[in-house]
Amino acid sequence: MLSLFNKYLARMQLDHPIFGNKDIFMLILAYLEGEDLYSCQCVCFAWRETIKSNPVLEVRLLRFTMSESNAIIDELRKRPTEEQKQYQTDVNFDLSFNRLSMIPKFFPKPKAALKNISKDKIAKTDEKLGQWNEFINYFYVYARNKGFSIKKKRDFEREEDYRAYEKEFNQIYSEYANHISETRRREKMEVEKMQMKKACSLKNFPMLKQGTIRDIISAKYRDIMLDLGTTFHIMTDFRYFNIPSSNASKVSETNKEGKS
Amino acid sequence: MFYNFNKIEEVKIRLRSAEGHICEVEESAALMSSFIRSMIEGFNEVTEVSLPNINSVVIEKVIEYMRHYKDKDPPIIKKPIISSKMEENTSAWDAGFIDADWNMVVDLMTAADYLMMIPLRDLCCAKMACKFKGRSIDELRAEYHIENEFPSEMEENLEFQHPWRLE
Repeated sequence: MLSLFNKYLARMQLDHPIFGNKDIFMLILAYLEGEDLYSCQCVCFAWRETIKSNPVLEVRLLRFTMSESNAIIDELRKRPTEEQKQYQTDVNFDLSFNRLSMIPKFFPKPKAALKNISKDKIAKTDEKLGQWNEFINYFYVYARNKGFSIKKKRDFEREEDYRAYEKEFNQIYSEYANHISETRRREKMEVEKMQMKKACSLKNFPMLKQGTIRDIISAKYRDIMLDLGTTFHIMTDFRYFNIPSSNASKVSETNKEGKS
Repeated sequence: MFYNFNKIEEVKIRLRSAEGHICEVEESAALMSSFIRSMIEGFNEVTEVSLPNINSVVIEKVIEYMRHYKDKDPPIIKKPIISSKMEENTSAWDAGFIDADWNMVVDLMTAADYLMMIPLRDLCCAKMACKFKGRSIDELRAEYHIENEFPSEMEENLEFQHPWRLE
């Protein structure tokens, strides 16, 4: 232990007439500042102790280290701003890319958003999707029945062949669309007829050949019209408001005299 | 009675070096040294001062400085020094005077410290500081034959704490 202490003491002292004399060496170091003073501090223990023993020198050294570290901190602060630009995503990027991390905090979280969606809406969307799938499947069947095989663009070697095929495809597709709209219209008519039949059977009305909603309403209010008799017609028919022509000429003459 | 003061010779102080050589200097010039001044003021009729720590070469150099600044004040060197060249830090005469080898500067400094000549001591200090200025740690160690006492761990720690020192 004592030997270690002696070693430590030996380190603290130098035999040199200048470096060993702390007072003189301090005077030399007083002429230095900044990096020069710092490098002197890093030479050996004795030099370091000499610098640390003088508060003026120590403060000068600390000021230098502070300024250097501040400069590095400023550099580091500048770096993140440059890196942030790299995080900007491309607009044309695939939408399947997970952008949840980029959504602002005030946006509802996906789970919360799912809670707000009602089951009816989901059912509606599913129904629409099912209809669309059916529409496409029927189109395949329709095209096959017409003797038209559906191909992809990569199956064609020449561009002209593909364009010719595209024209044919569009024609078939428009035919299919017309066919579907016509069948749906027929289906709708049939549904209306069925409703008419039901309505007539409930009210004991005679079956109308060309049943429309107007006819149904007129049939419904027929009894009321009969009860009211002519009064109903007077209120509705504008011809009862017309004045006879002989009286009308008289009224016009009296009006002229009065004005003059 | 008429006294001709110009003819009166100035009292000279004899400085005895370590080798025993005697160098003479005018009293007015010798008074620059606080040590010699205290000797003269303390003991009347003292004309010889022995300087056992200083050799004759250094004493001659000190006397040269004393004679130059006998009638005027030496220039003050600013702290910290601006450049590693002495010409830019102090007057041309001072720079030429101190332009000597390292051992001579060390001896001159010890002599100035012993004689308590603050301007000469400051000049020597500035000269030494000029030799330190702009030198790296390894250069300083190599020049003054100082071993690297810091353990490797401490060196690494220093490099980590102050990375700019490697630049």
